[in-house]
Amino acid sequence: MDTLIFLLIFVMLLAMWRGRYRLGWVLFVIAFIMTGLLFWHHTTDALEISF
Amino acid sequence: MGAFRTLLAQFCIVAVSCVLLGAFGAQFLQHEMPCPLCILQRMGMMLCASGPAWLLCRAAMREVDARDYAECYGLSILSAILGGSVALRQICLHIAPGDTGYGSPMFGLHLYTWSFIVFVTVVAVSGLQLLLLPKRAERLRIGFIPKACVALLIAVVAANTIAVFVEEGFHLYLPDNPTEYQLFSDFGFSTSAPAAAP
Repeated sequence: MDTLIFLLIFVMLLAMWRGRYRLGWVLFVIAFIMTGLLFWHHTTDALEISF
Repeated sequence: MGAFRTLLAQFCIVAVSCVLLGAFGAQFLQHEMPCPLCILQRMGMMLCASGPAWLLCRAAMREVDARDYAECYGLSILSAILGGSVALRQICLHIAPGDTGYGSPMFGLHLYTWSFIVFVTVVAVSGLQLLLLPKRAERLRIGFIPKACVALLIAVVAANTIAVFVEEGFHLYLPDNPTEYQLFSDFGFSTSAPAAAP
Protein backbone atom coordinates (compact mmCIF):
# COMPACT_ATOMS: atom_id res chain seq x y z
CA MET A 1 0.00 0.00 0.00
CA ASP A 2 2.77 2.43 0.98
CA THR A 3 4.74 1.62 -2.18
CA LEU A 4 1.60 2.15 -4.27
CA ILE A 5 0.99 5.60 -2.75
CA PHE A 6 4.61 6.65 -3.33
CA LEU A 7 4.30 5.40 -6.90
CA LEU A 8 1.09 7.43 -7.35
CA ILE A 9 2.83 10.58 -6.08
CA PHE A 10 5.76 9.92 -8.43
CA VAL A 11 3.47 9.46 -11.45
CA MET A 12 1.46 12.55 -10.38
CA LEU A 13 4.62 14.69 -10.37
CA LEU A 14 5.67 13.29 -13.75
CA ALA A 15 2.20 14.09 -15.13
CA MET A 16 2.53 17.68 -13.87
CA TRP A 17 6.03 17.93 -15.35
CA ARG A 18 4.64 16.83 -18.73
CA GLY A 19 1.76 19.34 -18.50
CA ARG A 20 -0.98 16.74 -17.88
CA TYR A 21 -2.70 18.76 -15.14
CA ARG A 22 -6.03 16.94 -15.15
CA LEU A 23 -4.29 13.58 -14.73
CA GLY A 24 -2.08 15.12 -12.03
CA TRP A 25 -5.14 16.44 -10.21
CA VAL A 26 -6.88 13.02 -10.31
CA LEU A 27 -3.73 11.26 -9.07
CA PHE A 28 -3.33 13.81 -6.28
CA VAL A 29 -6.88 13.19 -5.06
CA ILE A 30 -6.38 9.38 -5.16
CA ALA A 31 -2.99 9.61 -3.37
CA PHE A 32 -4.44 11.99 -0.76
CA ILE A 33 -7.44 9.74 -0.02
CA MET A 34 -5.25 6.62 0.10
CA THR A 35 -2.84 8.33 2.53
CA GLY A 36 -5.79 9.32 4.73
CA LEU A 37 -7.19 5.78 4.67
CA LEU A 38 -3.79 4.29 5.47
CA PHE A 39 -3.48 6.69 8.41
CA TRP A 40 -6.95 5.64 9.55
CA HIS A 41 -5.90 1.98 9.27
CA HIS A 42 -2.81 2.54 11.44
CA THR A 43 -4.80 4.63 13.92
CA THR A 44 -7.47 1.98 14.52
CA ASP A 45 -4.68 -0.62 14.69
CA ALA A 46 -2.97 1.19 17.56
CA LEU A 47 -6.25 1.89 19.38
CA GLU A 48 -6.98 -1.85 19.48
CA ILE A 49 -3.60 -2.40 21.08
CA SER A 50 -4.15 0.43 23.62
CA PHE A 51 -7.53 -0.77 24.80
CA MET B 1 6.43 40.47 -6.94
CA GLY B 2 6.13 37.55 -9.38
CA ALA B 3 9.81 36.76 -8.79
CA PHE B 4 9.21 36.67 -5.02
CA ARG B 5 6.26 34.31 -5.49
CA THR B 6 8.43 32.02 -7.66
CA LEU B 7 11.19 32.16 -5.04
CA LEU B 8 8.75 31.22 -2.27
CA ALA B 9 7.49 28.24 -4.30
CA GLN B 10 11.08 27.09 -4.89
CA PHE B 11 11.88 27.54 -1.20
CA CYS B 12 8.93 25.31 -0.28
CA ILE B 13 10.05 22.54 -2.65
CA VAL B 14 13.73 22.67 -1.65
CA ALA B 15 12.97 22.84 2.09
CA VAL B 16 10.68 19.80 1.96
CA SER B 17 13.15 17.91 -0.29
CA CYS B 18 15.98 18.64 2.17
CA VAL B 19 13.90 17.37 5.10
CA LEU B 20 13.10 14.20 3.13
CA LEU B 21 16.80 13.78 2.28
CA GLY B 22 17.63 14.24 5.99
CA ALA B 23 15.17 11.48 6.89
CA PHE B 24 16.77 9.36 4.18
CA GLY B 25 20.16 10.06 5.77
CA ALA B 26 18.86 8.96 9.18
CA GLN B 27 17.51 5.79 7.57
CA PHE B 28 20.67 4.76 5.76
CA LEU B 29 23.54 6.44 7.64
CA GLN B 30 22.22 5.84 11.19
CA HIS B 31 20.46 2.60 10.16
CA GLU B 32 17.13 3.68 11.66
CA MET B 33 14.14 1.98 10.06
CA PRO B 34 11.15 4.30 9.43
CA CYS B 35 7.87 3.15 11.02
CA PRO B 36 4.48 3.30 9.19
CA LEU B 37 3.68 6.72 10.71
CA CYS B 38 7.09 8.07 9.61
CA ILE B 39 6.34 6.88 6.07
CA LEU B 40 2.91 8.56 6.21
CA GLN B 41 4.61 11.82 7.22
CA ARG B 42 6.93 11.49 4.23
CA MET B 43 3.88 11.07 1.99
CA GLY B 44 2.32 14.19 3.55
CA MET B 45 5.50 16.19 2.88
CA MET B 46 5.63 15.06 -0.75
CA LEU B 47 1.99 16.00 -1.25
CA CYS B 48 2.70 19.40 0.37
CA ALA B 49 5.57 20.05 -2.04
CA SER B 50 3.48 18.96 -5.02
CA GLY B 51 1.39 22.18 -4.69
CA PRO B 52 4.27 24.59 -5.44
CA ALA B 53 5.71 22.07 -7.95
CA TRP B 54 2.38 22.12 -9.76
CA LEU B 55 2.43 25.92 -9.79
CA LEU B 56 5.95 26.04 -11.29
CA CYS B 57 5.06 23.43 -13.92
CA ARG B 58 1.96 25.42 -14.90
CA ALA B 59 3.87 28.69 -14.96
CA ALA B 60 6.44 27.16 -17.31
CA MET B 61 3.69 26.50 -19.88
CA ARG B 62 1.34 29.47 -19.58
CA GLU B 63 0.26 32.51 -17.57
CA VAL B 64 -0.90 31.84 -14.00
CA ASP B 65 -3.65 33.71 -12.19
CA ALA B 66 -5.01 33.91 -8.63
CA ARG B 67 -7.07 30.75 -9.16
CA ASP B 68 -3.94 28.73 -10.03
CA TYR B 69 -2.18 29.99 -6.89
CA ALA B 70 -5.23 29.24 -4.76
CA GLU B 71 -5.54 25.68 -6.15
CA CYS B 72 -1.86 24.87 -5.67
CA TYR B 73 -1.53 26.26 -2.15
CA GLY B 74 -4.93 24.81 -1.20
CA LEU B 75 -3.46 21.38 -2.01
CA SER B 76 -0.42 22.17 0.15
CA ILE B 77 -2.54 23.26 3.11
CA LEU B 78 -4.77 20.16 2.93
CA SER B 79 -1.71 17.91 2.71
CA ALA B 80 -0.06 19.74 5.62
CA ILE B 81 -3.19 19.18 7.74
CA LEU B 82 -3.09 15.46 6.90
CA GLY B 83 0.66 15.13 7.52
CA GLY B 84 0.46 17.28 10.65
CA SER B 85 -2.28 15.02 12.04
CA VAL B 86 -0.01 11.99 11.54
CA ALA B 87 2.90 13.78 13.25
CA LEU B 88 0.67 14.89 16.12
CA ARG B 89 -0.60 11.33 16.49
CA GLN B 90 2.98 10.05 16.76
CA ILE B 91 3.90 12.79 19.26
CA CYS B 92 0.87 11.79 21.38
CA LEU B 93 1.89 8.11 21.24
CA HIS B 94 5.16 9.00 23.00
CA ILE B 95 3.96 11.80 25.25
CA ALA B 96 3.66 9.74 28.45
CA PRO B 97 6.33 10.45 31.12
CA GLY B 98 9.19 7.97 30.94
CA ASP B 99 8.63 7.21 27.23
CA THR B 100 11.94 7.73 25.41
CA GLY B 101 10.20 8.15 22.04
CA TYR B 102 10.81 6.44 18.72
CA GLY B 103 14.32 6.70 17.29
CA SER B 104 17.11 9.03 18.31
CA PRO B 105 16.45 12.79 18.77
CA MET B 106 18.02 15.37 16.46
CA PHE B 107 18.88 18.81 17.92
CA GLY B 108 16.90 17.86 21.03
CA LEU B 109 13.67 16.91 19.25
CA HIS B 110 12.51 13.65 17.73
CA LEU B 111 12.07 13.52 13.97
CA TYR B 112 8.25 13.38 14.20
CA THR B 113 8.30 16.60 16.27
CA TRP B 114 10.45 18.27 13.59
CA SER B 115 8.00 16.90 11.04
CA PHE B 116 5.10 18.63 12.83
CA ILE B 117 7.08 21.90 12.78
CA VAL B 118 7.64 21.47 9.02
CA PHE B 119 3.90 20.99 8.40
CA VAL B 120 3.04 24.09 10.44
CA THR B 121 5.66 26.03 8.44
CA VAL B 122 4.12 24.80 5.16
CA VAL B 123 0.72 26.12 6.28
CA ALA B 124 2.32 29.46 7.21
CA VAL B 125 4.18 29.82 3.88
CA SER B 126 1.06 28.79 1.93
CA GLY B 127 -0.96 31.38 3.85
CA LEU B 128 1.66 34.00 2.97
CA GLN B 129 1.45 33.03 -0.72
CA LEU B 130 -2.33 33.35 -0.59
CA LEU B 131 -1.97 36.84 0.91
CA LEU B 132 0.22 37.82 -2.04
CA LEU B 133 -2.15 36.65 -4.78
CA PRO B 134 -1.70 38.55 -8.07
CA LYS B 135 -4.61 40.77 -9.16
CA ARG B 136 -4.40 39.59 -12.77
CA ALA B 137 -2.80 36.74 -14.71
CA GLU B 138 0.97 36.99 -14.89
CA ARG B 139 3.76 35.30 -16.80
CA LEU B 140 6.43 34.02 -14.40
CA ARG B 141 10.01 33.54 -15.56
CA ILE B 142 10.70 29.84 -15.12
CA GLY B 143 14.36 29.24 -15.87
CA PHE B 144 16.76 26.47 -14.95
CA ILE B 145 16.57 26.76 -11.14
CA PRO B 146 12.77 26.32 -10.72
CA LYS B 147 12.89 23.33 -13.09
CA ALA B 148 15.83 21.89 -11.13
CA CYS B 149 13.80 22.25 -7.89
CA VAL B 150 10.92 20.24 -9.37
CA ALA B 151 13.39 17.67 -10.76
CA LEU B 152 14.96 17.37 -7.28
CA LEU B 153 11.54 16.67 -5.77
CA ILE B 154 10.79 14.03 -8.43
CA ALA B 155 14.18 12.38 -7.76
CA VAL B 156 13.57 12.36 -3.98
CA VAL B 157 10.11 10.80 -4.49
CA ALA B 158 11.59 8.17 -6.83
CA ALA B 159 14.31 7.28 -4.29
CA ASN B 160 11.71 7.03 -1.51
CA THR B 161 9.50 4.82 -3.66
CA ILE B 162 12.35 2.34 -4.13
CA ALA B 163 13.33 2.49 -0.42
CA VAL B 164 9.75 1.86 0.72
CA PHE B 165 9.34 -0.98 -1.75
CA VAL B 166 12.48 -2.62 -0.33
CA GLU B 167 11.23 -2.06 3.23
CA GLU B 168 7.67 -3.28 2.56
CA GLY B 169 8.40 -6.00 0.01
CA PHE B 170 5.30 -7.57 -1.47
CA HIS B 171 3.31 -7.16 1.78
CA LEU B 172 0.22 -4.93 1.98
CA TYR B 173 1.30 -2.94 5.07
CA LEU B 174 4.51 -2.16 6.91
CA PRO B 175 4.91 -3.79 10.35
CA ASP B 176 4.32 -1.47 13.37
CA ASN B 177 7.97 -1.69 14.44
CA PRO B 178 10.01 -2.63 11.38
CA THR B 179 13.39 -4.21 12.13
CA GLU B 180 14.40 -5.40 8.68
CA TYR B 181 13.86 -4.81 4.96
CA GLN B 182 11.07 -7.24 4.16
CA LEU B 183 11.96 -7.60 0.49
CA PHE B 184 15.39 -8.93 1.44
CA SER B 185 14.11 -11.11 4.27
CA ASP B 186 11.44 -12.58 1.94
CA PHE B 187 14.26 -13.72 -0.32
CA GLY B 188 16.24 -15.14 2.60
CA PHE B 189 18.68 -12.29 3.30
CA SER B 190 18.73 -11.02 6.90
CA THR B 191 19.08 -7.19 7.27
CA SER B 192 17.94 -6.38 10.81
CA ALA B 193 18.41 -2.79 12.04
CA PRO B 194 17.21 -0.65 14.99
CA ALA B 195 14.26 1.81 14.78
CA ALA B 196 13.09 5.17 13.36
CA ALA B 197 13.07 8.28 11.06
CA PRO B 198 10.13 10.24 9.51
